[in-house]
Amino acid sequence: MKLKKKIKKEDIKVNKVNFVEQNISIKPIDYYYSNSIARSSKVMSECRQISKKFLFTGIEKAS
Amino acid sequence: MPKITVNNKEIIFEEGMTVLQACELAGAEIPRFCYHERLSIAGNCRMCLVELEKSSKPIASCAMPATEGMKIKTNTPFVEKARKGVMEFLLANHPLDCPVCDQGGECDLQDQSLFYGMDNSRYTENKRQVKEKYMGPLIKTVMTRCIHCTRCVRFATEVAGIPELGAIGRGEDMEITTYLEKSMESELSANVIDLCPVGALTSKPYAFEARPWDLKKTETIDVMDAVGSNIRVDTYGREVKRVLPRVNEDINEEWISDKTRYSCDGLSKQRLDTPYIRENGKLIKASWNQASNLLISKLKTFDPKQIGGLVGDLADLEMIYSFKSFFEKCIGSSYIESRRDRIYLNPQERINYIFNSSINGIEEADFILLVGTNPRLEATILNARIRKAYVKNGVKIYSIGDPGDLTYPYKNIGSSTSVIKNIVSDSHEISGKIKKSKKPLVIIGESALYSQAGQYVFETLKSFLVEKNFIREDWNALNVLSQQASRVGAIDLGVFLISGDDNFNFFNMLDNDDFKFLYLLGADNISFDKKDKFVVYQGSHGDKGAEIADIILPGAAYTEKNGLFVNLEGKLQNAYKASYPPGDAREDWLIFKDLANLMKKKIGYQNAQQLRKLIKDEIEKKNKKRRY
Amino acid sequence: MSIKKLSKIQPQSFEFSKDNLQKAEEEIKKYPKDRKASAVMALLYLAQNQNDNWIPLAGIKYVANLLGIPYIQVYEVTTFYSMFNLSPVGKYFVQVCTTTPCMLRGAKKIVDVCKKHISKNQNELSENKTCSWVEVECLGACANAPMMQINQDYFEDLDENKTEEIVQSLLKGKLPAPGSARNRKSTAPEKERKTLLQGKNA
Repeated sequence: MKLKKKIKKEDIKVNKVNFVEQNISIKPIDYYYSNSIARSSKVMSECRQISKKFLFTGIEKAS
Repeated sequence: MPKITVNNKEIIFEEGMTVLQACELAGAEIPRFCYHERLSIAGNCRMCLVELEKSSKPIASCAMPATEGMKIKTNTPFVEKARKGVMEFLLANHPLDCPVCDQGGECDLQDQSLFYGMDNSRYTENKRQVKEKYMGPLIKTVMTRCIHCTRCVRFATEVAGIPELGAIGRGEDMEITTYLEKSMESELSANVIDLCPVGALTSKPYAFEARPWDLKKTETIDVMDAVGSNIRVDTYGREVKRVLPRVNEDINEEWISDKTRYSCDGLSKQRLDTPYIRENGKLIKASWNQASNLLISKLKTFDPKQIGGLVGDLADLEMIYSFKSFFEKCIGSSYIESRRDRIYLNPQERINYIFNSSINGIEEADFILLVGTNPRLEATILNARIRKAYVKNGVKIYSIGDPGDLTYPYKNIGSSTSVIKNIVSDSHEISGKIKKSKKPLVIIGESALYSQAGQYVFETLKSFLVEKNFIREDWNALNVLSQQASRVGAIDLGVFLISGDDNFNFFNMLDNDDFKFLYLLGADNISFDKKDKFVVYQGSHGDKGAEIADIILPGAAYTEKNGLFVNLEGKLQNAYKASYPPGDAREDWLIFKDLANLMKKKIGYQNAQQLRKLIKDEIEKKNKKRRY
Repeated sequence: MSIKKLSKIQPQSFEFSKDNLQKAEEEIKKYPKDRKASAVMALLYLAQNQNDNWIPLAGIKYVANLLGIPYIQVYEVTTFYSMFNLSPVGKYFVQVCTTTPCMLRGAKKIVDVCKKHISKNQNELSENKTCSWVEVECLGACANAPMMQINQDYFEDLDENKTEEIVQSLLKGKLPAPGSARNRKSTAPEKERKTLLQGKNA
């Protein structure tokens, strides 16, 4: 759905919030097991086994 | 505008087009193997040869830039002879595997040899032997069939950003392989199967399963993540055999993630095909009547204030809406929630919870700030777009929080809310860069919206963007990256529980043990203490939710029903039914309708058309009220 | 052309010596910073010279890391060029030219000597593991045919006896002086011949 034509700065609701100090840690995601269908899938569990030794771009850590 | 003549037909083409593209404009079809619109040009299969006037040799049209006044011919005997020659070379080493090849029926080489192949072979030598390569559990290789188009190598390097494939050796000894045959470590790896014009790379799980002409094809929408990739589901009888991508330039281009493609075998495993009731701690099979009557009699024993409902990740709008109506009209409770955790939500305006700049907009961005998100795993296809923007425009990418490898370089600028405080107070190095940029992009992930700081992170960044005028008609820099297919739709339909300042009202009530009756609508990804709660699970798979349930009602999975989905950009998409739910399982909205009938209450709709109309009205109404 | 086969026995690690590292850095400096990858062949060559004429997998990784490019790209380069060896070829690597001019002038006999004294087949280490031989295409010294290349040096105007002499000395671990076996000065005519008309088959 497209944004409506006229957006005025004043129209956008802005809430001021007090500062909260907290660490932003990105939660690890079990990519191949993220929902019930994927968890039932045999192929996904195979992929998961392999990606446990997840290596990245092949520049730094690959064997 | 420059002009080019193709087969005596003069057409106008755009500057920078290749001869092949110009020929297609003129309606002349050019056979090709190595050329692909979304990959760089290699020009090594030579199948696209055309005749250029005043050139004694045919030219490779895919690699030749079109210039003013070129006179191209694509249908002369000269061209045909050239292409036949190329085809003969390609077939010289290609095995006669077609009857046992999974690509058969959808093979470019097969199709094109129909027009350019020789009826017999003049090549009497032995065909070359190539060892099979291991490329992981998804890709089956039969390397003798490879024609060295290098599409897969270019895809891995350019689109997936995992330069692990390569062509080793030279000449006749050239072989495509991963480095020392390790598996491809990309969430997009299986797209090489679609790219491969022959049967060298085929799908391992789909090997020898079916022939393409035997399959029923249904064009639908994926639910594995919130991107809403367009897919085609191929079914044989009831069983989903495979999932393939469908081109949608605005969303997934023509790629899909491995999870989308290969989790389909889960659709026939661990399925709930009949209702269950827990008796003496054991789940036993029951009929719909037994389960429904037990559910209704249990409902009567609780105060509506003790009844809560949770919507899961894969729910379509029909499911969510009927669930909500059931709760409001039949139970009289409004304690329903769709978030899976304490993730801050501001439902005041629609721009607060969708991906406003759209997936296409990523390519226009000149500055990207990721806040607490790992798009590679949360929305793989979207991450491929960010990579495309990086490759195409060299956009600078910064991240708050450490997501690991994203397939493109980015700068980690700390992982604390104080970084955001510094940015908005103009005391951070990137504050100036945001201000100077024309189309910045701030992507806020669920990890950043988590818990107490979520409100600060979201509202502060929003007010900063509003202040700097980055939320305008033509560009909206504020983006929230949802992870679940149901999320945006559920919020559109008002399925969240926020009371006053308490953004996590539902979860606080859950922790305080205020609920005695919990209705899980396909909600598996939530952890809570069951204690003495009565739990009803309605869904398609016997997973975490079903384990703790006292009553299980079997529902349909996403390929087994017509449904509406809203993707993370807020796009409404239609998913279609490809097969039928197993056993006694039923479409979810029907379950609620029947429950309402049994309770002798009005739920407001009697058939799918009425339900759909209600949903569309509801979304339209909400959108009007929210101004954008 | 020999098929590139990876050696089964691989050293655990590889690193440039101090000298070579300096040379490598000079090579890298020749290219713009974002085109560092262009130095890959020069670096592989250095690695090959340092490691007794062959590149171990550890060397491929080392070069890739040094240039910040994926392993597969370096691997592609090493397998593409026949001058890079991926298995041990011995400290003395003999390449015998067998292309037409050399063949006409008796390259076959030189090959026979290699077969007899070094190893039965090409690409096979000699008994004492210091030497191996291979037939190659034209090395561009046709005027001094027949010839062979040992490591970096050309040995020209060979005959059976001279080749045997050279091979024997290699097997003993000594590299003889390179150049023409008949003491010709590069490709200059012998016996003070001034024109083609003087004498026959000089």
